[in-house]
Amino acid sequence: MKSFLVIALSCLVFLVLFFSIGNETLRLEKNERLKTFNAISASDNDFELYEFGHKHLNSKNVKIKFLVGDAYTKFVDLQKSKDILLVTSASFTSAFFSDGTPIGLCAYEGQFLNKMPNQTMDGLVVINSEGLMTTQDIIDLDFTSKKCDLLMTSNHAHQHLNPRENALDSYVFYNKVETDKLSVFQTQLVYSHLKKDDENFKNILVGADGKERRFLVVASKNGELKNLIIGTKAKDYMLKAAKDVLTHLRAKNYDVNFILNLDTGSKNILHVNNGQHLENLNQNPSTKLARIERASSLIVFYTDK
Amino acid sequence: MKYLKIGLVTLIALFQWSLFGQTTDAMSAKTIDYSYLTEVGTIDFSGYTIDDYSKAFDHALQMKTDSLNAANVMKGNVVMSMLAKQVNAEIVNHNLDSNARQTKDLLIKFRAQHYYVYLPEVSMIIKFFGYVCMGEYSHIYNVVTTNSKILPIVIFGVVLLCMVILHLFGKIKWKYKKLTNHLILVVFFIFVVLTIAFKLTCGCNVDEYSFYGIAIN
Repeated sequence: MKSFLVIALSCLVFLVLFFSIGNETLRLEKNERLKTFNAISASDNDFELYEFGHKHLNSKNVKIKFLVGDAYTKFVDLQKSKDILLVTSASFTSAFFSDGTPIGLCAYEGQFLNKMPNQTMDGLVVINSEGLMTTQDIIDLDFTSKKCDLLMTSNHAHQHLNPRENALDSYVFYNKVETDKLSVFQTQLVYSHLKKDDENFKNILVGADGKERRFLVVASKNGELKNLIIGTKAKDYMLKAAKDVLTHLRAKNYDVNFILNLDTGSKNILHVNNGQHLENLNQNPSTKLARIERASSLIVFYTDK
Repeated sequence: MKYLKIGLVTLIALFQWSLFGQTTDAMSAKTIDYSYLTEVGTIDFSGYTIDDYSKAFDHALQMKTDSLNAANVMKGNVVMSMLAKQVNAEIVNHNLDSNARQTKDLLIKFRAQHYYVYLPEVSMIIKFFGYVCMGEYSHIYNVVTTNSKILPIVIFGVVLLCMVILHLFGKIKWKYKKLTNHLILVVFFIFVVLTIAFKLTCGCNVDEYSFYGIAIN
């Protein structure tokens, strides 16, 4: 009996050691107290909120960029010539342990990575790197498109297209993305000002409640366009968290147009400029996939140097 | 001579029958009318088989890459978008088998054109073994202790383990002690061997939708 126990225990020790193969040590950045966020205001008991207006420190234009397809290399290149204010994980990919395929429509500066629209995600984001994201840069795919002959005249023609529902629209949309070198991603549009609140939040407890949530918000305050990244500190259902965020922002006098869901799964990344350097705010993730080096896609707020 | 005539007639009849068969096949193949743009925007795909979809894809690709005719390029693109959406719907509704060779070949052709048709959510089994492969044990612990669906299985596993430990320490008295010892030893041996084999080979055998060649989607 004793020898049996010894064998069993030694096997267990061996297994524990063997399992530890592949566990790279996470390189954690120095854990410093957060400094002031300068133009980016922050913090509440329930939410972490980062707000961007047109200008950073009243001088430089704030711009937004979507990086996908070797996102980290693109991020490092961007970092050389720009001041990064915030970087966070963006859209979803099919695989969790490799680069994976972007889920839904996805393009980087005119190059499509996926032309197949996801049939359930209703938010399509178009980014042109010229400034903040406006309401015209977001397409609510639950709405049918307008007639094709109306499309060609407007500068923001893509807002009337629906590439998920209409094949002719998809052709016009893909051409516009390729010609204008736009970046595109699809995600859940958890709040749209084009729908009533009841429509937006009719299935509020759908999905899982095991994740903290992060949203990209397009809003205005006192008539000025704002882009916000707002995260919940507690784990919650996606739509319930979105509703709480909407209530919170309305109480702070934001006129909210769109709230888009961002990926907070295994590749949950959030780095924020604390006034001195870019600080990793998710320093102790449960998985090493949640490192910026392993990011599938990123949204970056930045200014020129 | 009589037999020769009968044989000849039979041969002619067989030849005509085979021709008739070919005509019927050709008639049954679905064709898309590319005459007008409005027509290609409203294609009726009812009755399409995987072969029909594959042929329609090849035709759309041909049109799409017709550099001499802009209208053809447009029509080819529109039809390809519609086909991608339709094939995706057919797979999701189980009208097409995503694991069939022909379907896989068609999906590969779509992917070459950047249409990632049918990307189902990665299964829990693949995720579990993927994380084990990468040594993400703290993440597995986080998931299993916070997921209400998995937690009962974990609790059952822990209870079973406790019983095995109590048994090994002789705290459980029952008549099958010897047999149970052998069983535990065999299971433990198999577990150790499989674990070592898995850790050594998982890197190239576990991907999004397959586990050692077994399709899981």
